[in-house]
Amino acid sequence: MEEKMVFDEPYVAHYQYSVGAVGTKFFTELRDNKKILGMRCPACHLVYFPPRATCHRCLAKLDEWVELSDEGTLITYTVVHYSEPVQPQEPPFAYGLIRLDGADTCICHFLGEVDPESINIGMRVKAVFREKGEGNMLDIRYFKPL
Amino acid sequence: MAKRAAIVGVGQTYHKSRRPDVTQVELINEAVKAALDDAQLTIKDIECVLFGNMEECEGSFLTDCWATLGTGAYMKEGCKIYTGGTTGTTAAIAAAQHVASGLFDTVLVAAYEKQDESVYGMEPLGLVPDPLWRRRFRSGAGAASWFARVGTTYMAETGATEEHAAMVRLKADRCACRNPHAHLRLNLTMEAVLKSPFLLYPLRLLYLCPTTSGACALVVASEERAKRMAQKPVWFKDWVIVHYEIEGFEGFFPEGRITSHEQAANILYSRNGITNVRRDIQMAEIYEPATWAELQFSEWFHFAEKGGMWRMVERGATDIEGEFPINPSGGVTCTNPIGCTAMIRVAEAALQIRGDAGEHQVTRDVKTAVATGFGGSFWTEMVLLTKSLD
Amino acid sequence: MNQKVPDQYIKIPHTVRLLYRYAAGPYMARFCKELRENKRLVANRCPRCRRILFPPRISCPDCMVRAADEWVEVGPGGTLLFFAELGRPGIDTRTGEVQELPASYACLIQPDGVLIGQGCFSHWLKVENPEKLREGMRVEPVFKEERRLGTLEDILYYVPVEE
Repeated sequence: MEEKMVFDEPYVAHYQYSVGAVGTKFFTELRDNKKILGMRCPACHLVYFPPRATCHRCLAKLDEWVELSDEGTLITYTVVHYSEPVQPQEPPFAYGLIRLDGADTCICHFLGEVDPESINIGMRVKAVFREKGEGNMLDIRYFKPL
Repeated sequence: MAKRAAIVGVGQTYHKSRRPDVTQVELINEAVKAALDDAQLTIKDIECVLFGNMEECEGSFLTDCWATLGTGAYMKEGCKIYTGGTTGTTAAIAAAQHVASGLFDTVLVAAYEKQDESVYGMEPLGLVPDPLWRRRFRSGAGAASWFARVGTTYMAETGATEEHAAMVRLKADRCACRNPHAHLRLNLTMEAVLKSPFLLYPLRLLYLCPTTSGACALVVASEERAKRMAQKPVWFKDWVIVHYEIEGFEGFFPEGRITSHEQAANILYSRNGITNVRRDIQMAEIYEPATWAELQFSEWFHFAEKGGMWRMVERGATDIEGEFPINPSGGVTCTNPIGCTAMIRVAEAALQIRGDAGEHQVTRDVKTAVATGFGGSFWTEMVLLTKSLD
Repeated sequence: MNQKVPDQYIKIPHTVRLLYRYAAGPYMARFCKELRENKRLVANRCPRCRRILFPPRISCPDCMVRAADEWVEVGPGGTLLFFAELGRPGIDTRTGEVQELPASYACLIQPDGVLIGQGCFSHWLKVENPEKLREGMRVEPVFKEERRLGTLEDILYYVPVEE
């Protein structure tokens, strides 16, 4: 057998993701006031969370901020049982798709303070905030059952 | 038989170094909305959305998927196109092809680059070259050293002097200062240009394209639709894409062999009966990543006879008021959101044909214009646009 | 309208760290092994037009036929096609940090035995007397003596041969 030549090629690059003016307002309120904001499209009658500058359906520019509840409904979930370098926590842990009261769209976040066996769709959940906010999505540590 | 396709809407952002006030998606959306407004359409009128960018610059992958929030591709057909520096022209050509095929009557195509997302600017593009052959030697074999060589070679072969490059850079700045969308608008003087430090002789810092954040979008429509909806449709007459064998900037100097720029120009001109380039085409928006490249590339595109470009520059022939304007927008040395840079060439050429370029509208009556794209492993694209459908 | 954006906006730093494995394929594998074991550069040929394919590869770009399994040694010395003094080094994509450069010049080399226009390559150039540098002069490689991997980095740099 001829020796095959295969070369390890690491790739490392540093980036900074702009969250923009809308994102900055959202993360600032979350960080400083533990307040969760959404954005309403008056034409499509939808409240987006996370908030966005433009409605993807009608492309209207949005500026109608809405304060959302820190409570919502679990739409669906999964429990992670395997370990990989990309996993943010040690297994087992649960991801949920959560729709906050007052919003029409969902976000994906961790479920905490919960036995994976007892999670069920439709369960009511509440955000648990990080003591000192840093201005990113993990200022909500996880959602716990009500 | 292919159908004819026309540009019926053009939009772009005000290009800047940094746009921390918007996300990538919001940046794209600015151009998309501008193009739709220009076409007097809404997103509901669009059947297919194409999209381009060089995702290494942002480190955000599968941009086509999540950028639907900005492009308006939600629940529509379309895909992403990425061919390096030529991404913008490839995407524009793909839009024309999607219409020419008869599959779609209205296609929106958007491209962007948000270079302030990368801590080291364009450096992540170092992933592009072959790791065994050239990736390690980028510091030396990167764009700057080759554009320096374009300068030394050009001077040696044609008798041009350093002042001619300075004239080209001044011309670009004069144009950019009349184009509100341009990124670098510096009000340069000859003295200031000649004070700009050499990165590598004879390439001055001012002669290299900047890192820019910006987006551009076009609306392309079929003949029936364009005639009905657009006051001034700009027709895709033809396009050509040519690759070169050699990976990397070595392709600049094929030493006795024809370059992909020359090959593309030969194909495009012979296919369209263009025998006198400066008569049959009235202006050009070319992808000139460095000032010296404008002189050399223009000759490869036959805008001047070999060794004659600097004489044209000397007499102001390539200015906005000149006999053959080149890059009246200010070109790539003034604005370079890399994944959409080539699309800006097409957009600006279309505006010149429409007569809608405003302050930087060329004085010459433009019936036919050419826009070009240029990519890292020597890949040339040319788009021929016309005012009338013939 | 231009420039000056206030820095009040939140940016979220993130670093992409990936590991790829690049397969050289059978043609370049031969090149890599010759470099690693024998400090030689090799190329293959087109069976139709007989041109040298450097770097070695599967097909001839001119004839579009499959390359012959016919190998020739080229270089490793050659002619200096171009040189440039390095200013600011770029970023090494392997580390995401500034690349450490083994020499202060970059160059383009036409290896002996390869016709002009049929393949050249970039490398570093270690220069003692910059005033004596000129295009067209001979250059010779300095190889790594140990732990060669089979990449062009097994050549540390080239040096000009002054007459």
